Amino acid sequence: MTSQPTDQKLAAEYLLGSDEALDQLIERYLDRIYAFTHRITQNSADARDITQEVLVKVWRKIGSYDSNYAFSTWVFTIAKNSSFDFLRKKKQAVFSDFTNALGENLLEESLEDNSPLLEIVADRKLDKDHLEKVLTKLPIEYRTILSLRYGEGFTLTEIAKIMGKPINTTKSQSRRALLELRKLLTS
Amino acid sequence: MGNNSDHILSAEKMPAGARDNLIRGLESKRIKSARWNLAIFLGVGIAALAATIVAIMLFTDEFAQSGIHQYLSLILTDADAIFDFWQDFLIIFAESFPIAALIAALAAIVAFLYSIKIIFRNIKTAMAKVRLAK
Repeated sequence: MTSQPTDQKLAAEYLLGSDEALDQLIERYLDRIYAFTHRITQNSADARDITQEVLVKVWRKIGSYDSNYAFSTWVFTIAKNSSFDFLRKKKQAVFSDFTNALGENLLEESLEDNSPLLEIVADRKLDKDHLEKVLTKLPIEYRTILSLRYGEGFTLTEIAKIMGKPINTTKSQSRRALLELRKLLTS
Repeated sequence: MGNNSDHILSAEKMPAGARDNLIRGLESKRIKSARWNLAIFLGVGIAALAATIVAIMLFTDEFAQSGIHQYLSLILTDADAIFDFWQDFLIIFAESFPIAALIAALAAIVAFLYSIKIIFRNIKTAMAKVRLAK
């Protein structure tokens, strides 16, 4: 049984002239990109527009992809940036009040509650639809981090790279997001 | 992807037909880009080929006029003279050799070969048609 080629291998093959390699990459990521952008925008039409934009950017910029990093991280960085830009243009993004212009969370309080999302969901006996609805009320950075972590399965290190922030900031924001989520669920 | 297995959030499925539309949208842009590249580099390739021919003719003409071939023929008839006066020979060679014409010829050849590479890279995509809707 032959194993599937890695993303890096497919990217390299496309740059050497194989259009089929790019087709395979697109097939791998299309649904995930759509799901992610839908979680951010909560709108099917917007998610489709952003997904189209992301696919075009991936195609045009694949020459600049650094194979020392995971391809998924690179693709979702583009998806995150495209989603944020789209929402900023539509003035639909509610960014966290605690985030400064550099994207750093300035709140230095100790965050004691480290309950992962699974525990919160189990604790409240939530179904996934209700959880998705509550998530829409979070500021966009928190929604993005939780989406990347609990929707796409990225580690916090990978999420930090996608968000373009230091790992400690991402950890703080992740904990903060879960706290905000818990507050919304109890209110 | 990392080791986090908390895929708690469900993945929204695309509406019917949206998937094909997205792929076709990208395909359409790729085909258009390939056609542009093909058109541009066909022109560049033809110009580079003409420049290559002219540059090679210029180089051979200047080489013939330089007289270097007379010195080179000494290698066959009087090789000892070459070895005895190799420094003078090198100076004469450096002064007479049509280096500018050679560089121009090589540049034109490189441009032509690059154009061929781009043409071959894009011709398959440029000739493709966007898949029809199902």
